[in-house]
Amino acid sequence: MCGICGVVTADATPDPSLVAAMMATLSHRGPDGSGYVIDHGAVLGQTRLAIIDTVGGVQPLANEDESLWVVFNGEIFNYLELAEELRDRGHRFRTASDTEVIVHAFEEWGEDAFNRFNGQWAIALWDRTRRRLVLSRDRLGVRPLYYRLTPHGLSFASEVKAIFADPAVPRQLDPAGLREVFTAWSTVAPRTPFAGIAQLPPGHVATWTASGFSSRSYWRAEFPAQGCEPGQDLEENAAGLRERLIRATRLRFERSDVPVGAYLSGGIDSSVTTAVIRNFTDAPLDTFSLRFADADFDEGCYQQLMAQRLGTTHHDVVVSARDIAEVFPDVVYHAESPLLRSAPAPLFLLSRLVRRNGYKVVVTGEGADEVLGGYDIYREARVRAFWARDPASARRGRAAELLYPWMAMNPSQAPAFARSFFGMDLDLADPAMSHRPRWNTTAALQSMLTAGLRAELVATPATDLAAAMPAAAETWDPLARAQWLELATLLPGYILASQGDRMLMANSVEGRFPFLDPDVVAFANALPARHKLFGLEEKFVLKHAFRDLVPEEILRRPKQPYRAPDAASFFSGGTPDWLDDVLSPSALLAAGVFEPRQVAGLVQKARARSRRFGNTDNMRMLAVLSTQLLHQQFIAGNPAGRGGPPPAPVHVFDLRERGTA
Amino acid sequence: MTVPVDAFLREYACLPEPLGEDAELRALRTAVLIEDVFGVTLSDEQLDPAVLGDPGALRALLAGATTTPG
Repeated sequence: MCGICGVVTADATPDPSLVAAMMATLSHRGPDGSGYVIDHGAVLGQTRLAIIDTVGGVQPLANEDESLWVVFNGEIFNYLELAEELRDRGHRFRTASDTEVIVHAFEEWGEDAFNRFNGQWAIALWDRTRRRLVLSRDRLGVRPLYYRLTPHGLSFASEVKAIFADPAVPRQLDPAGLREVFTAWSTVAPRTPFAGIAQLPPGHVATWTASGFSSRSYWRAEFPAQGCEPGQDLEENAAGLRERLIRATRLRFERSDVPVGAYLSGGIDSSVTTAVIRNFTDAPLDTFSLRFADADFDEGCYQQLMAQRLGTTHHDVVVSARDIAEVFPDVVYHAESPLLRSAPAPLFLLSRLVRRNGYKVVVTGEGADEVLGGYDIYREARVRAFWARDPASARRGRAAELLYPWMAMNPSQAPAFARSFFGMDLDLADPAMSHRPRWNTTAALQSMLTAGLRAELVATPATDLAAAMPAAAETWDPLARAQWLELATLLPGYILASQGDRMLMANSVEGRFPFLDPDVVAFANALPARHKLFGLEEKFVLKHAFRDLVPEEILRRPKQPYRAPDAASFFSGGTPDWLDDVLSPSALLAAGVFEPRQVAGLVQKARARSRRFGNTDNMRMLAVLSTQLLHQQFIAGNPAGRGGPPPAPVHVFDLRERGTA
Repeated sequence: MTVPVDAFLREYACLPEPLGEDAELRALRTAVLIEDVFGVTLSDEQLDPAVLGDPGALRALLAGATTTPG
């Protein structure tokens, strides 16, 4: 796990000191050392979090004749098997690192190498012979990779702040990017919140040469036609999933030269991965949990239950609303995006706990909800389809109470809420029917934008997020279409980014995700929809497969989506020091994103702790605070200003005297 | 491919008993499942706890729902 960056140009050799400055902004991603390679027309840099071959795996790293160089952020978990195959084909290895596998694999198989990798990566390869830069990102977007194209070259980095280390790079928010966030909760690659800065989409490989830049997909999520799933037997499917998840979890726990811990949320997913580690490996296990001072959000009893049952050495951090408010500017600095939830903040504090306990790798349960049908949005879609099939039914309305038991306790409110929210856009022919309520509700935030920004957006057509769905999706089960949308939007854009990589790497911790193993994903995608979501029973096959390892109390508990106190974090018991600065009329005017009068009204409502401060108000408040912080740190100020020197030791490889390869 | 009724009922038996739901809600829960798996639309008369809560009546309903008219 690391940070990578670099600059390639068609004319002069880039300034190595610029790349050193870029590396300095990525110190948190790789505090164990750094290095860069200088060639005619290219400088590639890296900051290293040493996990595999901690001594030998120094980067940048080259093939045998040093014609091909790589900087790499991530892990190739099947590197031992690939190295053996490559040795059989005549490649000579100088290290025991997974990084070296990349250069030999690329030499051997070219871009087909990426489909052979089981891992999580952002890779930059500099091919000296063909004077080309190759960028690649893992299938589902676990690791980030940004770039900026110029008429004469390209700069790239793990984080936007590294690209902004070049003072010549214009720093502006992108109105179209903001609109995507204020619709789908995040931008969708290649778009970012910043004008002129793109991100390589997950599952893509890109090539830059002096004659141009091109990008193509090497992998995309696929599902069988509804009713044509290869396996229909629940027992066989549960056994198949179990076998693959055990293999994926062991691979992620055992392939490390430093100790690996595990997150334990109290839900099913991390209980499964932790139980697998405990039951199928021999190493001692430390587990890490997030608790909340506010009991409404706390899952401590389930965490304790699982930790005690497995006999792990357990650590937790109790997060208060005040804690969230205090770290929120740092959270935005690392997330590099507007946020509509405060939920990343506690995860920032959790990774800090991990690091302070001497760990730099954790196995986590993210991805299970997307891959195995665990999200409420899938269950909501089932109920909405149930209504849509017979809108005149006198009995179907109560099905909303099946989604959220609290509705049964508030019968006077439930029907109205159900009609206004879940009853929106009931069009069974719409491939994105599952997501319309979320997108439409979130888009209400756009009414707060300044008139100028809204006028600018009118001139820029919005991207139809459903339009990118493959034609074959017409034949998929509706659940598969909803899963595809989650895999294409929220997973890489928010879950793995703002709540994942960014909050982990902020404290120099690598996350590993067994549920996103390519074999697990391919197997899960091919399952009949009913084995994932059996009526309204989420992750049905997962619960069946691991019912011997996970306690009944956790298997049967109502699903509790991960949430943290939102606006209340910033307005109860006083406001944080930074809040008045970013909400001041001058700061709002400088950013030009939100209408100051609307913000004032929202803040007044929040300060009064109005009982009418609902879900949309919470999103509005978080959107305003995070966007204003983003503007303060990335546009009005330069985030690169925080960087010191690149982490020592610094390894420099200067190829300029060696001529071209 | 239509899911065989026997296979479906075996899977149905693996579902945990829902907690704290009245009979009408349980019937709706089962109806959501049946309509999704078998691609049918039940009438309001069939959304009846007496039908969807009784194993024999449920089997008869499913047999009817999955039979292609000849």
